[in-house]
Amino acid sequence: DDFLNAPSETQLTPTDLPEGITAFDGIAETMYFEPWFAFNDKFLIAVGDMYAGNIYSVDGAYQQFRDAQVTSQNPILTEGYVSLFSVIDQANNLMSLVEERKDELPEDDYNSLIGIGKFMRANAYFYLVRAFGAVPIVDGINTEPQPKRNLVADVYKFIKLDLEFAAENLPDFAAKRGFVTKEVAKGILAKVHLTLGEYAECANLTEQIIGGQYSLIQQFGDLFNSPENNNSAESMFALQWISIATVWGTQNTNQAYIVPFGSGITGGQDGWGVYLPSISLQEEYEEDDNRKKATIMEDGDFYPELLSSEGGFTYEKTLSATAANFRKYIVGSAAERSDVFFMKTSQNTIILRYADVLLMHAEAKLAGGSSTSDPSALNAYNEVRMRAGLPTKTVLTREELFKERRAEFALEGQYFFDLKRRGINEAISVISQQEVGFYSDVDRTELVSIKITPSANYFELPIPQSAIDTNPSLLEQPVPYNFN
Amino acid sequence: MYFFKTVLTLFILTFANVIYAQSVEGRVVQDGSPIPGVNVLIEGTSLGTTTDAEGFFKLNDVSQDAVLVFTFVGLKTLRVPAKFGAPMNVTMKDDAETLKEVVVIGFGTQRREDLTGAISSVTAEEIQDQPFTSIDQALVGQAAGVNVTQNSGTPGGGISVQIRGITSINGNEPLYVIDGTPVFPDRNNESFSFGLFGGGDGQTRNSALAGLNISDIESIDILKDASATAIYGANGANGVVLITTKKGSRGKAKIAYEAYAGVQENINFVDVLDLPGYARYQTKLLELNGEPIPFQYQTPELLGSGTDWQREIFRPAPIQSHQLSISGGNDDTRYYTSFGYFDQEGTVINSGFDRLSLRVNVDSKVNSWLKIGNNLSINRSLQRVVRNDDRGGTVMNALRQSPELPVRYSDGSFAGPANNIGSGGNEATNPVALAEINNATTQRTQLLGNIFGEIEFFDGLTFKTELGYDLGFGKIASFAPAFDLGTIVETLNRSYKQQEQSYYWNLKNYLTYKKTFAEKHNLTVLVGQEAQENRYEYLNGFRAGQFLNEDFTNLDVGDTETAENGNGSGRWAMTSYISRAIYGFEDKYTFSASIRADASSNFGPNNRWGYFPSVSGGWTLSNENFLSDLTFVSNLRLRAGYGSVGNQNIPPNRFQTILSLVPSPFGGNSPTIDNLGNPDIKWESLNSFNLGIDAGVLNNRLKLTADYYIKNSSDFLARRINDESNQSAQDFFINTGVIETKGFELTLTSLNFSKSDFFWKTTAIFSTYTNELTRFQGQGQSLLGRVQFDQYTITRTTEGEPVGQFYGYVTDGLFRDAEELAAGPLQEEGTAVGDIRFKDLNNDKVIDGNDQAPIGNAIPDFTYSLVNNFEYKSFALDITLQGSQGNDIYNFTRHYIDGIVPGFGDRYANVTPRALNAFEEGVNEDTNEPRLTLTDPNGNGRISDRFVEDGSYLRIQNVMLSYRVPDRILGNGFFTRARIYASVQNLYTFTNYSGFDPSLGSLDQNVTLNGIDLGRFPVPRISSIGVNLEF
Amino acid sequence: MLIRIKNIAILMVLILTFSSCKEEDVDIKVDAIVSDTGDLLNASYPLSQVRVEGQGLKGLEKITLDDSIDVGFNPAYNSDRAFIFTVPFDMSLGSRFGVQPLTFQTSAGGTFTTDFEILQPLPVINSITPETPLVGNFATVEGEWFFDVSSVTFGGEPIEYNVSSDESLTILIPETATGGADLAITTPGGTLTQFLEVSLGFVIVNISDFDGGGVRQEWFSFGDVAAFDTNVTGGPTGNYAQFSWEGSTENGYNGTSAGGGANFLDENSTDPAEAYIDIDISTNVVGAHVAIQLNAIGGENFAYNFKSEDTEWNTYSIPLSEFRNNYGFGEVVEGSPDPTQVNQINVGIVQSDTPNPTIISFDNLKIKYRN
Ligand SMILES: [Ca+2]
Ligand SMILES: [Ca+2]
Repeated sequence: DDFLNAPSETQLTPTDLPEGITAFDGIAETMYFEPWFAFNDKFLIAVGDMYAGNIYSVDGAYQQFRDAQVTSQNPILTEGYVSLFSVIDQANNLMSLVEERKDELPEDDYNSLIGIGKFMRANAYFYLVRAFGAVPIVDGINTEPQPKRNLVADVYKFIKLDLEFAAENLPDFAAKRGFVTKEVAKGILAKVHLTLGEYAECANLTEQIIGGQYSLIQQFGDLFNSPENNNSAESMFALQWISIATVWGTQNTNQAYIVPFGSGITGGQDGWGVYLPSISLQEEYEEDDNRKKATIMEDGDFYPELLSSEGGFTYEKTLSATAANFRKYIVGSAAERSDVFFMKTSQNTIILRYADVLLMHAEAKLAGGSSTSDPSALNAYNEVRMRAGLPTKTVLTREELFKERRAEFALEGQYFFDLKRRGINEAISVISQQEVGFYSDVDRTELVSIKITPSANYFELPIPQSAIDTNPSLLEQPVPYNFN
Repeated sequence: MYFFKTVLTLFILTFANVIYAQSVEGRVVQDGSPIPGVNVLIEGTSLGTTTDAEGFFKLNDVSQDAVLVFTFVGLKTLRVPAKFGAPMNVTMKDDAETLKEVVVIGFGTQRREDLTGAISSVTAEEIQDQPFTSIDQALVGQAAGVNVTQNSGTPGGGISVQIRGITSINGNEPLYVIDGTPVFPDRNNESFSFGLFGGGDGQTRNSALAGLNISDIESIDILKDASATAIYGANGANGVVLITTKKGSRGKAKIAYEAYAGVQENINFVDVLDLPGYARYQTKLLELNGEPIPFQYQTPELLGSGTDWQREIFRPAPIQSHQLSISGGNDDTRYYTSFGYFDQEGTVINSGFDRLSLRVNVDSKVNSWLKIGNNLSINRSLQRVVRNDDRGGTVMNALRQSPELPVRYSDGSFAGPANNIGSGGNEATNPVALAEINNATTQRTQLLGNIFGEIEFFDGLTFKTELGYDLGFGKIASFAPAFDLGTIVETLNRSYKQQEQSYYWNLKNYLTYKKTFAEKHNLTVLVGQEAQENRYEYLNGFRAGQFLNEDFTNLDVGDTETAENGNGSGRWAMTSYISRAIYGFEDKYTFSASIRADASSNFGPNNRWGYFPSVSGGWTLSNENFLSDLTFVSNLRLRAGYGSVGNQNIPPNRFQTILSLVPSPFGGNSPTIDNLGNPDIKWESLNSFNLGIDAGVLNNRLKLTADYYIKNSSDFLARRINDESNQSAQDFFINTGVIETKGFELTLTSLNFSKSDFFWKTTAIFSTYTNELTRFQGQGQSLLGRVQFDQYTITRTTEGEPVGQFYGYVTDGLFRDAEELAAGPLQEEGTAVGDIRFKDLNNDKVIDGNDQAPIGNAIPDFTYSLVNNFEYKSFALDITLQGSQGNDIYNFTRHYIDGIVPGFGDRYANVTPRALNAFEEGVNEDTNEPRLTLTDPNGNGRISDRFVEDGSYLRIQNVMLSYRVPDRILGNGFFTRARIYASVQNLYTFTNYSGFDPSLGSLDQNVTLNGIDLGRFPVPRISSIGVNLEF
Repeated sequence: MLIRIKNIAILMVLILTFSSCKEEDVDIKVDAIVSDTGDLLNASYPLSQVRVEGQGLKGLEKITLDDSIDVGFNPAYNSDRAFIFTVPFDMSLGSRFGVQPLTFQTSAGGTFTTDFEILQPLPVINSITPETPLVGNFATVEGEWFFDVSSVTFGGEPIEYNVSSDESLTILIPETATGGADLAITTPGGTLTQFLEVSLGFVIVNISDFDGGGVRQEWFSFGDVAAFDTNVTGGPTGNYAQFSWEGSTENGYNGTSAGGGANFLDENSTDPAEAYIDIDISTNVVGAHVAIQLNAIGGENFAYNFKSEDTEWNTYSIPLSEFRNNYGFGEVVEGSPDPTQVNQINVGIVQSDTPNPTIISFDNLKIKYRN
């Protein structure tokens, strides 16, 4: 029988791991990147920014997002949906494996592993429910094949339960830089409450985080343009990427789509300028907002850190039909750092950062009102503005808050979800006034105006065709979820 | 009706014969030497004898009008009227044709007339001299129930061989056994995956047989039904192809030189816009977007035709083959040795394949009881591939790149996309430039063969031991240099190398007892054991940086900072017991039963062993007394068989949980779950029933073989279906489902003319089958066939439907005016006049996922071939037609080139003229092409019957004219045989299919991706001339 | 036999004739060269696209301009009736404006030459450094097509200029400029006009010149001032103001003021180092102790106190950053006083440390801010 035992030297089984090491830690680590890959590749920005008018694009699949007319065949939609469910599935796998060996694990390890599983699952669901509305709840234990969709309220309830567990059981401090903690879970939970209009709960959680272990970093741009600054003090939950020439699926691909087409900034064949900052977004920045140059490249902007071997890069508006390109998430070429390859960088994708907690706090204090002069709201809000080099304010209005968020989080996949919190009427009115056109001439002066008026279904993207093909039950009406 | 009348008439006539007996004697020789052991039989009786050591024979009681039949393995069977009085001098000759009479059945041979299973045979003669790269290709149109499609025109590229349809969802390629040694397609047959350098992988699967020299083949026997393949147990489910290489024959040494040279060309081109058309098309898009029309588009009628990229990437490509062989032997030892050289350039630039091969086959009778032998093939092949069968492939790029972009500018430099000129991205940059500058080669060295010893303990009982081996050494080298093509710049030179070794061996020991009792009971019993093992290991590395130039691509020349490497290994093993008994009675009845037990390392202890039994029987009615006088019926035999076989075509070790190591951003590698173990997985099993008839009338001038079969494959190993509850289903295998295949196949051979100077034979082959997934994972779950980074689901394999069913929306014309649009059904928010109206299949006035239906299937209604062989004096003309009827093709390339699906970077891509015929209100309404849009808000490009085309075709597969120099001209000169010929392969294809080639096969041999055209490398036409010389 | 050879010879001659005929008689003809810039024919601007229309143009192999410049082109555009190329212009290759021969050659061996005119484009200004030049100073204009510049005017008046290259020229902003005006550069390609803002230096707010000008007209005195007159005649610049202190310490302070009102400077004038108070002063004795005071800015009273060193009229230009708090007896506070808040300037005498009597004459009180 030895003859028929064919252990491979490459394929490890759980029993092959050295004493004292479980696969769980490794699996838990992969939860920070592997299943999120396709979500990060296009979906996050397409839904979070382009769909809400931050980005102009001429590419068809994207353009459906720009035009707020996304069909269920849209491949970007499919990728995101599948990717998010694979996060859920991986989380469920992790938790069931951990449960199986509960007896062998120290209680703290057990709790924090389950905590990670639930944290990741909740994050995936949070994106799913906000993007698609009702989706099936899959808890890995009781789920039937071909599950039906569950009610939106139940999905939110499920998310909250997961996050409450995580906020209770994750460690206080990260064992490795980038690991999530109790405070991070509270931060995400705060956003869930905020999304649901539960302002007091949100404010309570943000108060617990503010002044704790996380803080703003000085240079706003460092959050996005330098993998060496990954997991800074401001970064609370980030998808962790690593770029390896011969491995696909562990890296951040964003730079490939962002870099101005033909600029040579990546040093490789990528850099397609698929995402162009909409004119509306460009106009959103106040004068002297130091975030702008770190977010958007405009005519004449000089970046010594890009194309460094040629002495730097001066942006020219002719590179873009909207006279500007994005700067966020560009890290450069192999000449600047040795881990840049075709469609590969190691730049983390930040899902939650401290600035968001501050602005969430202000938003919670606003509590749906049109303005506030609550000192803690103002302090939080002004802290963000001061870093941006902008004057502080003594009264905060609703408009100002959302304007601030748009400038702060442009290209971070937040704007659509911010609009969603404002309700459909307000969102439609905001969007329909945004200029998302382009310039038809070389001088970038002749504006071809495009304004998008979304339909009433705007807040719920269609369930991808490909998911329906696999699971026709998704076409049925959502059902309550059995929480027992 | 006519047939039965004729039978009856002749039946009656037979009784009128007169009987009178005498004795006959004589001698049988070949090339002047006596042949011992020739069977001499009085036709129509079981009476006969064999020649002695000096070739003499004697028969008594021979009737006056008797005909003697002389048969000997490897020689042409002779029928000679008995001559009385003087000794008969019988000269027998070599004939490949006669090999058909003995069929290799695995662990032995059997006379064709004793067969009980469904076995097709192909002889060297039928496939010789044709310019095939690999043996599997040569099976096209040669055998009933065997469907061969070339997955790619890449020289040495993949072939789909399906024997009797689809058996498994895990791979349907048959088991190839060469002189007793299996060649598994999982060893060493992947070429470089271009995805490593970015973009899609392209098709990487190659033919496992590409290393073998086709000229060394003596015969191919294809075991089709389970009763025949059961002896191969766990590897027999997809059929078994037994390949026998040439052996020497006794007599004077024969030196043969065979060679051909030819030219290959691409024959079909897909109609895409020329530059004036493209300018008109771009103008429409620009107008849609409100953009100004550039100068060069303003006068399209003055523009040149632009770059015809297809003409640029295809080229006439030479092919040549040379083989020198020496064979011969004496009574005790036979040898065959050959040296071959094959060189083929691909019709797509920078692709090609060459092969050097050496074969040594020797067998020797050491003494009266011991025989030893050796078959050895050493070959080395080098394949150069360009990326294909992918959106980023050279062929697809040639379809998509703009005619506005020149191949080279006037200064001779390669052109690249400029701002808004040409389709950019890494994909369609400049297909010629990319194909030229990137280099990817795969070199394979293979040692394949076996050694054996056979002991005859006493008359009838032999013991054979065979050690087979297949040692492979592969080397992949790929270099992608830095370049600067317009807006697309690559600053890194990248080099990837991989070396791999695989070691396969199998050891077989078996006893055969073969005895005839009382002259009428023929018994063959086999008992044996087999063990096999395969190990492989690879080591690869990557570096980028400043390589000096293309000739210095060794990794050491790259930057150490960028160095990466990889290493992996694996092993599988199997141990088996086999037994078989064949019992024949009076050449009338044959019964065969076999059982094999296999234990494989692929499975866990719970279900490691599989048992594969079979029974079959044959009844030769024509040897029955009640028919024996019906002389015009030369042969009539019924066969029936039932058997069970297995399929172990899955990745190893799926019974246990497997972790894979993923590089972790947190440092080191993170173990992650690659496979969730299922300890209960077991063999896929296939149960099949076969009923066959062999008939020959008028001295076998008209021969017919027909088979009907039912196959039930069940418990196939499938990944648990992906749905929301389980996105990582690739990690979990279960045994599930049943596929039922029913089929019928027919081979009809007619000797139309056989005069002294004119000979005409026709062979017609017809095959049909239906396929249905009768049970699957339950809950209506389906296996989906997806392409293009899994973004498009094209096929659905689900209960009650055939495997690989195309599935999608059904189109219902266009919305031609506002009224029609208002009438619905409701489609998408952006639906407008000029968009495709989809059929509301469930009548709920809304188009959604419920409105999808089966829209086609790649499984043909039937396939057929027609082979005509003419001989006139020294000339011979062979014409092979081959066709397929009723197979649908999902033409996925049209998603990109019809101009209706906007995709990544497609804005400036080229399209077919269909796009210019798009619906425009008030301008062009009499069309079925939907309106042009930039975003396809209606989803006109969704998977629908719009892209399904009829793939039926009839192909003139081969026409060969040859001239054999008559002996009288050769005289006693240097040559003993000389033949020259000219042939055209793939001469013409009659089809309505709009793509390059309707004969598609499966993408990377995946049955759920059958009949999908992704811009494949089309199979070329090959015109060649050749010569065969013997001296 | 002879006949046969003869026939062959004739045939060969025919073939040769025919083929050579073909070479020479390739029917190439150019009808027009159309420019992408409008309705120009046979002429166009550098870097514009032109389409050569005619017959027999297929197989274009080479385009030569001015008998010397090899013109690159995209062969994909080439049809029998047309080809397209971009008009090159590279001084280093010897490009020039004007009518010049354009020659092209096809693969069939035909060549054709026609006249083509490269027109000089209108000059283009890309940048002017400094962006807002100071009057009387030089500025550099970067742009394109500064060939054969014939004049440069500012506000319609010719100004001094120097052409450094076809992409750069230097201009002198006239001293006399009173503000921004149109800068016009004229070349054979035409006149480019672009408005150019100039800097006159300081923003100067005239507070009082005692000749009817200034934003504060009504002066008064307070505290222990003995006499005050705002219309003393005969000063270097017309009338001036004069006040005296004669030893009274009744109030402990004295001064003159025109009172508060609107702030003098705009809200951008925030840097005290860039804000100056200008004043002409003459004292009756050396050592007279003058106090220039700013009232209550940010709750503080600032002042600049100094003693005269002669009795002549002197012009003082005092940066606000030199003012001290506590009426000039405290500290210099960084960033203070805030110039935007200045709306009242008092002139007084430090009673504790000055001769008795002290008479101070002052005129031309201004506040200015450097932009
Ligand atoms: Ca419907
Ligand atoms: Ca005055």
